[in-house]
Amino acid sequence: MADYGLTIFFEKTGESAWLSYKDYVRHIGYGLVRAGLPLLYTEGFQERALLQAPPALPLGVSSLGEPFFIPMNKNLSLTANDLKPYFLRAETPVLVLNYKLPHYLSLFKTPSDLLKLDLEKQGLKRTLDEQHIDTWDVVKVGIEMVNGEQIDLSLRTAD
Amino acid sequence: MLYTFTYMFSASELYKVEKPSRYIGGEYNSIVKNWENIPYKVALLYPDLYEVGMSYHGLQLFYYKINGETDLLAERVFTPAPDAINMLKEKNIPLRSLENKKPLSSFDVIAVHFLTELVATNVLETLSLGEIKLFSNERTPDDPYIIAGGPAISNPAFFEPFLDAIFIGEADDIIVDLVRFLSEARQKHANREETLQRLTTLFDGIYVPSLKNSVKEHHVLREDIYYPERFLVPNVEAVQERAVVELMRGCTRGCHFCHASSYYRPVRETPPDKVVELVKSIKKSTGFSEVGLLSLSTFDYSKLNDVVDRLQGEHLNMSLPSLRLDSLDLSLLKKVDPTAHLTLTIAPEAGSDELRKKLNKGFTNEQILRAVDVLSENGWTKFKFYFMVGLPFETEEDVRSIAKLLNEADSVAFRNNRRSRIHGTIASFVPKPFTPFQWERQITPDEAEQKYTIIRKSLKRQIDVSFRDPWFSLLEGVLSRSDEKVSQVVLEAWKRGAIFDTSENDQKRAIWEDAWQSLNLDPLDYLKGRSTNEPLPWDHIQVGPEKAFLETQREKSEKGLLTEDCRYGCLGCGVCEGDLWPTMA
Repeated sequence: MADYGLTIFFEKTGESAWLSYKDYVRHIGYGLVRAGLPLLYTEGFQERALLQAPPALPLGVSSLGEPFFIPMNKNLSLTANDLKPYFLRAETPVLVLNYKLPHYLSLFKTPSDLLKLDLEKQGLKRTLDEQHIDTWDVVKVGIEMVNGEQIDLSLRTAD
Repeated sequence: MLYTFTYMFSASELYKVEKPSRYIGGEYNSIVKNWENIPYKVALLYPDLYEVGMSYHGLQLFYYKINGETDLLAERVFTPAPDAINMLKEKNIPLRSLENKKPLSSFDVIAVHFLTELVATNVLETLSLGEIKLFSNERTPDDPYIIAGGPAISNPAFFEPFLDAIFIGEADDIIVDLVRFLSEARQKHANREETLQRLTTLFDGIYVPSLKNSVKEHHVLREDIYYPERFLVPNVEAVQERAVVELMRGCTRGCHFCHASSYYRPVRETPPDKVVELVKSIKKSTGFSEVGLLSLSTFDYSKLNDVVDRLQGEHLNMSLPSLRLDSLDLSLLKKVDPTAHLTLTIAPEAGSDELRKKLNKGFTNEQILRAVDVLSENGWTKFKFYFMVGLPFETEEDVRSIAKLLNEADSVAFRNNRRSRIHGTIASFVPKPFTPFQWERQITPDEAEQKYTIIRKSLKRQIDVSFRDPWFSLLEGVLSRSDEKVSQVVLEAWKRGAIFDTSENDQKRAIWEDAWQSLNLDPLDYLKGRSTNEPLPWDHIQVGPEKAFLETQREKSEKGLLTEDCRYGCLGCGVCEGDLWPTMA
């Protein structure tokens, strides 16, 4: 694995909320190629750009920022605004960090409450079903890292 | 931060349909113009699922060509999947376009793409969901004009009553003016008969069913071929998701069964600089990692080495469709596509050299086995073969030779590499109009099954072979050589629930059989051989070579004589005239 990399938060709103997660990840991969970033590629017969996608969201759930880790061989300094022209509005990059995120909890705003979930361990879909909440009424608004640091995505616009 | 937009479906409805992103649009590189400000509007209707239609190069070509004009707007419409169709019907929602989400009936022109005859019922379903009057003669001056084009509608008899006009040939240089003319006519509420009459005089290649006019196929010069420089990035992964660049249009080989060979004559190679520029620009605008170099016979492209060399190091997977063994270049294949180590596709069509010669395919079983030997030694592990049964002049021995060739190929490949696999696909031959085999008899499904059995019995057990349901070859054959009576069967089958006939199943077969019976027609009547003196239902349309040339080719086929590649000397087929000639890179 590469020594360096960027964590880029992308929206999954509007039309993109209705994309399967596989298709959403595919779109992000294409956007990174369009942006001409110095990506690393798999070394199989079919070359693919390397990226690490976050845990999947159920179909219909919007997110104000899905963190993708993009491994690279050199340090890069760029902002979300630099990347904006290469992505759909519904998949706008909103935040760029020059490190890989540690384990984190996802924060969701629902019509009744704020949900805090470890998506690796706890499924969002089942939680919403139990509370009779429609997936399209739910928005991921932030993340909370294990060290207590929070990223409130609802306050962010592309920098 | 969140924003709202309108779909054809509400969120709660979207949630209930499979792959909802088929119906929402908004793709990267899609063009959404201001509906109110654009005077002329065309819907590009691809009568199949979103992911199938988004693979089609022609759709992207027309989309960008038309949207490149400031006074025109082109939006996409696909046939929804059965669950979404039920939802539309249940909720009484008219089918809408993907860009401005406008009902199909609000467009001036609806341009239907016919790539196979088997989408006929899909077209009826899609028009009906869009609340379009199905019969041309029921439409008023306020209704959209429904035009169709594509190789599968070159004999339009099976669909004539539903279309206002059919474009025969390539429309790259005509489509824009055609749309303007029809849109203006609709907006002025012009008399439809007069408009369509004028259409035939203003544009080449226009056939109007109500006029039964004679028409000659329209071809474009190489400099008039339109090459899109960007592509739509599909929401749902397309069946073939890649940037497509037309390496060349047309094929000079002239295989006697091949409709595309007639339809896309003559060969027009894209200059290598243009190919490289297009590949790079499409990659940059889409992010696609795979590029398909499109042609009917890729290794016949005269500058392939040059193009491939210049695309090395671009992080691109290149795919080369339609390879012919007689022009196979191993070193090039290795260079082009590392994935070729996985699969090589060969279309011998016939199992014996003699029969293959009668198809005007000059390569031999020895060449095929030598290629398998060399390639399997060099790391290729999968070999796909395509064959047809029921070809003209075929003997039982020819049928057996299909199994024999597959068995031998398996032995050769396995000897070199124990992981090698041979896969065969076998279908019943469908004679197509405008080919030298247009007069031939098509075998019945029962005969095809008998031939399949002969092959099955002679095959080694480990060889994986799939057989196309011969009943669907029958359907394709009937539609492609149809007369007007067949259009009633199409309508009846659709009314009884036929749709998505490209995917074969027994239920659809039963629906179509009932439709034939209800009209007292027998599909087997359409399979019979026809005399060269007998008038054909498509005689008023000229696609590709002149009829006399096709007759000569058929005679040569009977004698097993090969016809030369027309790049090395004109054969006088009647297609080329004026500035239109084979154009090399």
